[in-house]
Amino acid sequence: MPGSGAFEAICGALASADGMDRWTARGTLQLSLMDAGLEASTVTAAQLAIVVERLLPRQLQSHGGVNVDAVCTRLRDTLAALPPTTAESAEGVFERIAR
Amino acid sequence: MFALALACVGIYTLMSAFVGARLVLRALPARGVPELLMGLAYLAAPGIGYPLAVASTRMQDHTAGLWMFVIGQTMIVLGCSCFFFFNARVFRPKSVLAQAAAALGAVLFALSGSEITRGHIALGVDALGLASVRAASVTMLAVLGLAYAWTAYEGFRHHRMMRRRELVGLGDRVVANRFLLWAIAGSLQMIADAVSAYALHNGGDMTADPASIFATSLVGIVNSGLLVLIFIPPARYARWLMRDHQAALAAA
Repeated sequence: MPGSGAFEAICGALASADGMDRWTARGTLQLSLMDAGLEASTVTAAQLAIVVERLLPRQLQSHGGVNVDAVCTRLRDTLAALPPTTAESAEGVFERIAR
Repeated sequence: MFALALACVGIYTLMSAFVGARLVLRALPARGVPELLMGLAYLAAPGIGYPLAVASTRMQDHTAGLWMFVIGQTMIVLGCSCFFFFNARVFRPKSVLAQAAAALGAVLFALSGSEITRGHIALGVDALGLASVRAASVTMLAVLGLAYAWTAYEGFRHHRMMRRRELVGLGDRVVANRFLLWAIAGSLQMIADAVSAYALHNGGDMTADPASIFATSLVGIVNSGLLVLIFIPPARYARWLMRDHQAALAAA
């Protein structure tokens, strides 16, 4: 299943980093998302920003030759440039139903 | 015993009608499709359909009773189908397989509902004597059980994900709990459906079989409470859920 727009955007940005390729970048991000209880198909830019800040650095440190700070800064810039998403999530629906 | 069971199911009917109508009324101006599907699921099947179908058998006027049964059965098919479409739309919006499964479930509901209605028009309350009507009733309960199993699976899965999100500062504990309650309600309903389907499959009548009456009434009363906590939670309940979180914040 394809990832959300935000997920695909930072996959591309991460894949272009030194010591990374497309599949490594995708797998690294997927592991971070699993730790955060998120799914690639529905994750938003705002959620990814938290993942990049709190979970991804630890995953990237296991890849030798990756400048973690520089990569995370680039990913944050990529996410900041994305338009806000309006896609509906299960979390959003279950938050609304009891209002 | 029978009166107590009837009261339990009656409470669930009233709660479902209230919650369903509230969701539908809120969904219409906002064009909220998930709320509309969930609202119709509760309003049409347990709120209107089941009581109409049961009451139709007590009507003195045969024609009016038949119409009530037909409308009740139609509402049951509509409401149960909405459960499937809610699951597909909210939990698997990009999955073609999920949309196809929801459509297949709706078709099976419609086919079994039409066979039950056809039998009732021909034989009235004795329609269960027809093998085709009994098979259609078992099919409807089995497919409904699958819809609730799907509901429970998605609820438990999202609850687990929400707890993980909470650890990184993304999840809302109250919403996570709502997923859990939703999953528990689905699991209980699935068990009640399985008990009733088993009784029907073995030649029993679910309105007379003790196990079926016990399961349906117990699940009815428990799920009424769960509907309150999911859809109209008291502020005190939300505060109770957040008690550790607030204590941790205060300590920090």
